[in-house]
Order: sequence, then C-alpha cells, then structure tokens
Amino acid sequence: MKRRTLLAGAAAAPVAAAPIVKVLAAEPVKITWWHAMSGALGDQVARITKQFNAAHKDIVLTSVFKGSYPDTLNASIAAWRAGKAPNVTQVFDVGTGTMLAAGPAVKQIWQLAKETGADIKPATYIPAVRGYYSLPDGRLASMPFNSSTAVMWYNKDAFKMAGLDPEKPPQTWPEVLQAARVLKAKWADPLNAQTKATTKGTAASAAKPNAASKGGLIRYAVTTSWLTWIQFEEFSAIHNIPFASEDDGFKGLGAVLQCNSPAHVAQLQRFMDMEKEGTFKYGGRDSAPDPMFYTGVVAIGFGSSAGRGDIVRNAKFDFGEALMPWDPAVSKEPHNTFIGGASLWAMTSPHRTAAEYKAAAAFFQFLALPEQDAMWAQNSGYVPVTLAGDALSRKQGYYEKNPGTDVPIKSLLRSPVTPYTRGMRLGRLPEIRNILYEECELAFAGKQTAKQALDKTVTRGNVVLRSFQKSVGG
Amino acid sequence: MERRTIFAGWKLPMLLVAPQLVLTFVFFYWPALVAAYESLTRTDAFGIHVTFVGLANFRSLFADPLYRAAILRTVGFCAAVTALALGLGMVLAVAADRELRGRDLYRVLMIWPYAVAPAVSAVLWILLLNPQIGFVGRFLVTHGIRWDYALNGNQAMLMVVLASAWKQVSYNFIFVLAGLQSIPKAVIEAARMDGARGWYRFRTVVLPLLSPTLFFLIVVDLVYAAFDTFGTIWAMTEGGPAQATQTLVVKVYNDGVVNLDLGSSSAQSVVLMVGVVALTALQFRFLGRRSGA
Amino acid sequence: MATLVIEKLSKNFGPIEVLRDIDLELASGEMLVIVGASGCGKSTLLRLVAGLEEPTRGRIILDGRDVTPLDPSVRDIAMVFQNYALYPHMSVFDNMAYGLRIRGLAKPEIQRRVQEAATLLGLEPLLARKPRQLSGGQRQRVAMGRAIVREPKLFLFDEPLSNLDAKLRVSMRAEIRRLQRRLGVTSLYVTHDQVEAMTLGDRLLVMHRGVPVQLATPMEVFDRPADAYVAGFIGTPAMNLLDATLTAGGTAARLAGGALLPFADGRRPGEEGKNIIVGIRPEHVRIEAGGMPLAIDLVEPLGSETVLLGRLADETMLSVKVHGAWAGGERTEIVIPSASLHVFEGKSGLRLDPAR
Repeated sequence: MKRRTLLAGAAAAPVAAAPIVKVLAAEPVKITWWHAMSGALGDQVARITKQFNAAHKDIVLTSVFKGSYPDTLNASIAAWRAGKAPNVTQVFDVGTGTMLAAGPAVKQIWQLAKETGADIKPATYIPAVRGYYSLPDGRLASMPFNSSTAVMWYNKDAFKMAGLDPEKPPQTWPEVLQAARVLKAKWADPLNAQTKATTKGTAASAAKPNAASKGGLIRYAVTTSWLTWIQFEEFSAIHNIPFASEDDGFKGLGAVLQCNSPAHVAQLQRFMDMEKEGTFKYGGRDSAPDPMFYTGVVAIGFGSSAGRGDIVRNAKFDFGEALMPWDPAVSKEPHNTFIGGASLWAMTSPHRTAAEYKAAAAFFQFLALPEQDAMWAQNSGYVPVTLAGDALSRKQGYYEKNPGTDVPIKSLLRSPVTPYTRGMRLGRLPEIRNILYEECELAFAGKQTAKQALDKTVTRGNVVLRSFQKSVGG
Repeated sequence: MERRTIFAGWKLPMLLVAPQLVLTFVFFYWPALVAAYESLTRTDAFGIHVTFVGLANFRSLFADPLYRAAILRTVGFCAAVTALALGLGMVLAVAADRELRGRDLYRVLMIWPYAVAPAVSAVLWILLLNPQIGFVGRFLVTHGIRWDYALNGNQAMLMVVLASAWKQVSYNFIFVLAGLQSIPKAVIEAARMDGARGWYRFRTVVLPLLSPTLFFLIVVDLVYAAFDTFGTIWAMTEGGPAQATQTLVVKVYNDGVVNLDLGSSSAQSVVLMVGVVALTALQFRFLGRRSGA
Repeated sequence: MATLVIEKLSKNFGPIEVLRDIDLELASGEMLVIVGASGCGKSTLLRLVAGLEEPTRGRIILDGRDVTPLDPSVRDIAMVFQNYALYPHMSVFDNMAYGLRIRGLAKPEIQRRVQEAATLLGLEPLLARKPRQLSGGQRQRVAMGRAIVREPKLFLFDEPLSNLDAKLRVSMRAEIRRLQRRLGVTSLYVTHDQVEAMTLGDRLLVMHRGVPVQLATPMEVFDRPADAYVAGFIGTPAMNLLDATLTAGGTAARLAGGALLPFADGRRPGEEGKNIIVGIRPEHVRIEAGGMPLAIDLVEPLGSETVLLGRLADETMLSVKVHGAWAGGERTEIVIPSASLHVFEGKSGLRLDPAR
C-alpha cells in the first residue's frame, strides 16, 4: 500500500521527480516472513530477524507468526490469491509437493539465485536435507530451515532395571523386539516391586500410588510417534525401498503408492504382533504419543529428533538417543533417513520488485552462514542444515557436551543418498498420511489384517494422488 | 406490516439498512456463492489451474462409501449429543426447579461449561480420560477395562459425544428451566389432585407443555452437534481413530484446510448448507404452525 | 360422601404463622364455606386439606382415615382452582377423563361418566375443544366437570368464581349450589365474597388473621356475629359500628355524641364508662322525626333500596338503608331501635351478651 502511494506520488509530480527518486532509493527494502514457530522457537525467529536486520541496513525484515503449519500454508495461499503474499513463508515438509506445483506463486531457489545473481550453492547443504527440497536434477526449490529426522529415544534407567545395557540400544528390529519383551517382563510389569525402587523418574509417582491406579503408571515397552512418517516413510528410506513409484514421486506427478510391499506389510505386522503381546502401545497420531516416553510410560519411543527439548524438560530419568533400527531381512545394511520439518519458500506477488527478491535471497544466504546455522540448530533442537554449520557445532564441542545430539546428523549421513532416501515428493501428502493412519488404526483395532490395511491405503492414496495430479493440470 | 414507512425518500432507509446488508453479504452470501462456485470446479490450492467439472465433485462425493459413512456417523453423533445434552439438561433443570438449598449457586455452576472454550474443554476431558495420564482413564485401565480411545473407535466416539454434550447441557438446562417455570403451578397441582404421580405426571402434563421448548432445543442441539462441535472433536481426536469420529464438518475442514482439496470440500459445504436450510425451514414451519393455532 | 375432621391444624411458613389450631368437623354431604379477607389463611387451609401443603401440626381425617401424611394423588379429593388450571394441551373430554384413566377405569365407564357430567354442565358440544377455545364460564364448567367425574370423597373450591364477570358469577353460584346438593358431596368452599358465602354454605367459617372467628350457619353469623370483625364483614352495606361507653348498671350505651341507647334484651356486664362498640345494620336504622339528626353526604340508589351515607352530630359516620327511592333532603332524623342492637366489647371486639 505504502509503495503504491509513493509511486502515485512520484507519477503525480514529474517536475520534482529527481529528488523523490533519490529519497526512494535511500528507503530500505521491506520484506515479510511468515512462519509457524511458536514458543521458544518463535523467540529464535525473533533473534534471527533482529540479527539479519542489524547486518543489512538496507533491508527491513518483519517476521509474522501465522499459527500452525497448515494455518500458515493456508494463509500464504489465500494471501497469494489476494495478491498479498509474503516474500518468504515457511511450509512444512509435507506441503512441499503442493508448493512445487504452485508454479507462478513461488520463485524456486535456483530461479531466485539466477535472477538476483545471489550465490546459493546446493552443495552447501547436507545431502539428505537438500535432497528433500531439490528437483530431481539437484536444483534447489526451497530453502532448508528447521529440519529434524527420526530417532529412537530410550530410557536408560529402564534398560538398567531390565538388565539391558543402557549404552547398547537395540540396532535392528529383532533386537528391538527382544529388548521389548525383556522390558515388559522386568520393567513394565506393575507387580514387579523393583519397578518402584530403581527408576528415578517414575519412582516418584510409583512410590505414592494414586488411589485411582493401584499399581501406579501402566507401562509398555514401546510406542511410536509419527507412525506414518517414521515407521513407513523413513522405514522405506532406511531399507532403500520405494514408498511410491517415480522415485517416491520425485520424477513425476504420476507416482503411485507402493507401501504395500511384503516388507511394509511385515513392518505393520510387527507392530500388530507387539500390540497383541503387550509390548507396544499405539498412542495416537503425529506427536500425540510423545508424552508417553518422557513421562515414563514406555521405555522406547520412536520420535522426531526435534522432540529433544520436551524430553530434556520433562524426563526425570536418564535417556538416550539412538539411530533408527533396521530389519536385516529387508536390507543388509541401513541407509540414511531423510528429514522432516519445514523449509522456506520465496513467494511472488504482483508489483513485487527486484529489490525485494534480492532482499529475500540475502536473507536465505544469511541463514546459511555457518554461525547462524549452528546457533539455530543448537538453540532449537533441529539439525544443522549446512555441512559447515554441522562442522562448526562439532568444533565448538556442542555434540560432546550434549551426547546424542549428533545422532540425527549421523542418521542423515548414514549412507549416500539414493533415489529412495531423499524423502517424499507426493501431492497432498498430509491426506495420504491420514489415510495410512486410519487404515493402521483399523488394523490395530483388529478390524483388518496388515495386508488389507496397506492395500486399502494404496488404493485410497492413489485416488488422492490422481486427484492432485488433475488439479494441478498434470 | 400495517405500519407504513415514514421515510420521505429511499436514501435514508437504504443507508440505515446498508451495514446489515453489507455484513450479511460479506459474511454469508459471498462465501456461500464462492463455495457453490468452487464446488463445481476442480482446482489446485493456488487457483492456478481451474477446471469446470459440473457436478463431478458431488457425484464422487456420494459415490464414496466413506462419505456416506460420514453422513450416517454424523446423524448418529448428532442424535446422541442431542439426546444426552437435552436429557441431562432436563434432569438437571427438573432438579433445579424444585426448591432446594443453594439453588442459585447450583444454577450458576450449571451455566459454566457453556462459557468454556471448546479447545479448553477438550483438554480437560483428555486430562480426565487419557488411558495413560487421565484420572478416569487410568482407573478404567487398572480395573480391567480396555479403555483406549486412540484405537477403539466406539470409545473415541463415546468420548467426543460426552465432551460435546457436556458443553451443551448448560444451554438446554437454562431453556428447560425457563420452560418449566412458565408452566402454571396450578396445572401441576391439578394433575396431582387428579392422582397423577411422578413420571406419569411428567410425561402426560409437563412434557407436552414443554414440547415447544424441547422442539426448539432439539433443532438448536442438532445444529450445534453438526457444526459447533468441530473445535472439540478436532482437539480430542482429529476425527480418528480411523475415521471413527470424523463428522461432516471435521471432514470439510480436513479436506479443505489440511488436504487442500477445495472442490470436494466446497461440495461438502454445499451439502451441509442444504442441511441447515432444511432444518431451519422445518423449525420455521413448526413454530409458524404453533403460533398460528 | 364422607365426613371431614380437622384437628388442631397449624401451618407456619418459616417464622410466620399463617394458621393456628384450626378445629373443624364436616358432616357428610355438608358444604362449608370458609370466608375471610385475603391473607386470612383460608386458601392455605384448603391447600392443607388437599395435601398441596404440609401442615406444621395437626391432623386431617377424611372419612375416618388420617390422610395427613398422604400425597394428594391418593387422598381422593377433587379441587376446582381459581384459574381453572385446565390441561391446556388436552381436549375438554381428556381434561375430564384424565383422573379416571389414572384410576384405571374401563373405557366405557370413562365415556359414561364424562358424558354424564358434560350433560349436567351443558358441555356436550365442547368436548372436542381445547381449553384455549373456551370462554371463561365454559372453562369453569370444565373444571367443575373434571372434579365431578371423579366422584371423590371431598370437593374443594378455591375461589372458583372470582375470575368471572358479575352476572356469570351469580348464575354459576346457583349452579354450583344445585350440583353440590344433587351430588351430595362433602365440600369445602373458599371465598372472600360474603354474598357467595351466605348463599352457598350450609355453614360458614369466618377466618381472620389465621384464626377461625366464627363457625355457624349463615343466618346465625348474620344475626349473632361473634365479634365486631364478623359483624362488619358479613352483610351489605356493612354494619354500622359505633364507639360507646357502658352506662351505670349496664343498661344502656352512651354514644360518643352523648345519645343514650338502652339495651332491650338485658343488662351488659361491666362498670360504668367501659368502652364498648354498638352495632346496628343499616337496614335496621329507622328514619323518624324527632330522632338524632343525620347530615346526608351521599345517596346510593340500588333500585328497590337506597343507601344513605351520613354523619351524626358528633361527625360519627352512619349508613342507613331505606326502601324505595330517597325523597328526603340533605338532613334527616333517625332512630336506632334497641331491639336490633349488637353489643361488642371495646377492647377484644367480642360479642357482649346480656348478663344472666
């Protein structure tokens, strides 16, 4: 609005044009950044904004919190349709497919770099990170920002009590199953008096049994957050098998789901069997099961590496962070996991000036500075997205001082990235995840077999993929 | 009707009703028209590729067994919430209608749940019913009941019905209480003298006299259950497990906001809109008939 | 048909005593009218008998059975309410049949009884209507019908005519009396209207401030009111009540203005100068030359009779009822006949009969 009035003013006074243009040139470029980071993460966004503005006197960056990830994405879409899109917006991993299909609404990073001449090299970024946000030929589409990956959290106190080595977490699924049975027998059994004595954290609640639950907490060996992302999408990457055709959708909109392979069926069956024998407890979708780990309900909790902050704050026991297990029956060795989280997209808008795009590019470059990346990662709990940022953290001794914090990076760098370990490039992925959740929930509830659940997921998911393909004119 | 205008021209009256008209247009007609238009198209989220597809969205909607299941589920959910909210509201109102000690405090407490935000009430219910951390949930589990709303669809449904009904009990309570108090005391006494006792008296005298209030409440409760329970359901189960608690509004939100399937979501909104119009028409007809008699 | 005995019945609402120690006995088929100004406790007494209120003390015995602890629904008493209290959602027929259905009567029997009552009350053409489609008088009849069909042991009437216009009230009054006589049901009838009380009751119970003042036949209440309150309450226009003192020997009353009124029926006990009240009904005051002068303020012609409102020499108000129209002027002279005098104690207001 302001810009328009200024331009109108300039047009209306051609005689005095020269001095006005000079004033305009001195005016700093204003850009906005919409994000979904609340709480402590929001404070970090504010810090970044402040430091960027301090470093760039000719740019004024304003960051605006727009609510949850879906809220932010929807706000950005609505704003673009109204011609008022922000310069930069934060879009969660599963929104990547939608953004890639957004055509004129966004300026992909490679495009932005070309137009503004900014030096943004994909090689700066950790391969497993940039892979998620790249086109198949390696050109960067969006700017990696907050990235996490799947890890296995475990309760060291519980391991000790069950007679397991707390420094040797299970590495393969058969080992997980074995440990789970031991944990159930020696730790989760509410009748086991030992339970109350040794576990630091849960001891408090167990020592004073609540009148409502005579045995204190009801314990299970294992749970998982993000069942669909971690146990199916990441599972596929770890075993280097496709979740969907067309290299998990990277090669084209025509991808069909392939998550009903025998390996996937065996994976779901594994959880169903564990559920039946009482070693696994399904705790809901997405991050809903997180509290089950840090409150001591389970001894092993699969989750996002970004959950570290909550665990540190809440867990009253010794915990460990370990690489995801793999199934030797499917793959001889484990592959890298890919990232979750969100990236930053440059958006277009009518009347957007070259200076504004330039400012956005400058902002992206600023985020990639090793010290910025390392600071963001250390303060937020996300992984560094640049190789230099990771190296800096290592040099600063951060990983040594905070054991386990390098596990996510190790997981991302576990093997060279293959076509099946880059991540998911599927339209309307949130919907597909919900379908997978729904079908798994029905299977856990005993209403269908593992094979039926995944077959139905594929059928229903493909309908969504075709609908998306049609909607974007593919 | 008989009052004729006292305005000289049409400018002033237009000016006076304009704000209302503008609000109605901006917040009702415009979105409704956009939804109606979008329900006939297939479009990506950004509106870059828009294809007119006629009634294809509706056809695929009604061909989808999951949508038909959602309709049935919503009907059941609405019926359950209405029955529970109205039933409880009535029981409590009948109790409050008696002369009992601390009646005023009791009434104030009754009205509280209505003032609680849906998300907050959802959290309260989860804190109560969560099988791992909830007071009631743990009690159930330790007493041999397989309470697990993350997997058991019936239990999840039960939970959202409870939470939704709880929020609406207050509203029903207030109206039923007012309705009870508007029944002449002498009529009840006449029934007592006639030999009618307890439930029989309630059924044959109180209930019929309360029926206009009850009908009004049934319509309000149905509309509440169909639309206003979104916040509660979303915060508690997000429509899961599987689709066990996915009512039509939850599905509209899911398909529109989460899945960005605007065509289908708009078509669903149009279906819902038709539903509300039908309910409202029914209410108008009923109320019209009553006042006309 | 049953007897009703009320023993020491009292009722408090919180700290307020609205009824104290009522004792009453009704013979089978008797109609007793409870009369008094509003707030005297007459309605409360009726509601206690009905069972709609619980007594604080005392017993109610209907037909030899103590019904005090019983719910109204099982007392077998029917009540006609002031505002009729018909069931608005039921037809006239259903209103009347309601109580019978509860008692589990067979359909033909219900049909017969309702039909009979409807014929009796002239309600046949209205049986299918809803109460809101009826006039006030018709609603009143339905309320009566509802009580009649039950064939209860006891009828209770709570000011049933007070919502009707004057003309309808007179005809309904007669109808109620006729019906009650014909059905022979023991009845309690509450009213604040003394004409209704006089015309309807076999006996009257006059109540004042929660206490029964007089229980007697209408004529006895009229002829020998138990106290100055009853004397003033029963009869229209109201009895003149004049402040006076007792003369020496108790043979006469001396009015405030000095006039002497000798007692025709004997001496009253008490010392000279004792405060008394003398009562004389307006129709008993005679216009007679040579009597006490009366200044007439107001003339109220009632057709066959005329009521004069005037003042004695000492400004004491006095009303006089004369036959026919009043042809006299603004002044006249009156005589108070000794034989028609009522004498009451000044302090308590109680009737003062001649000493024996």
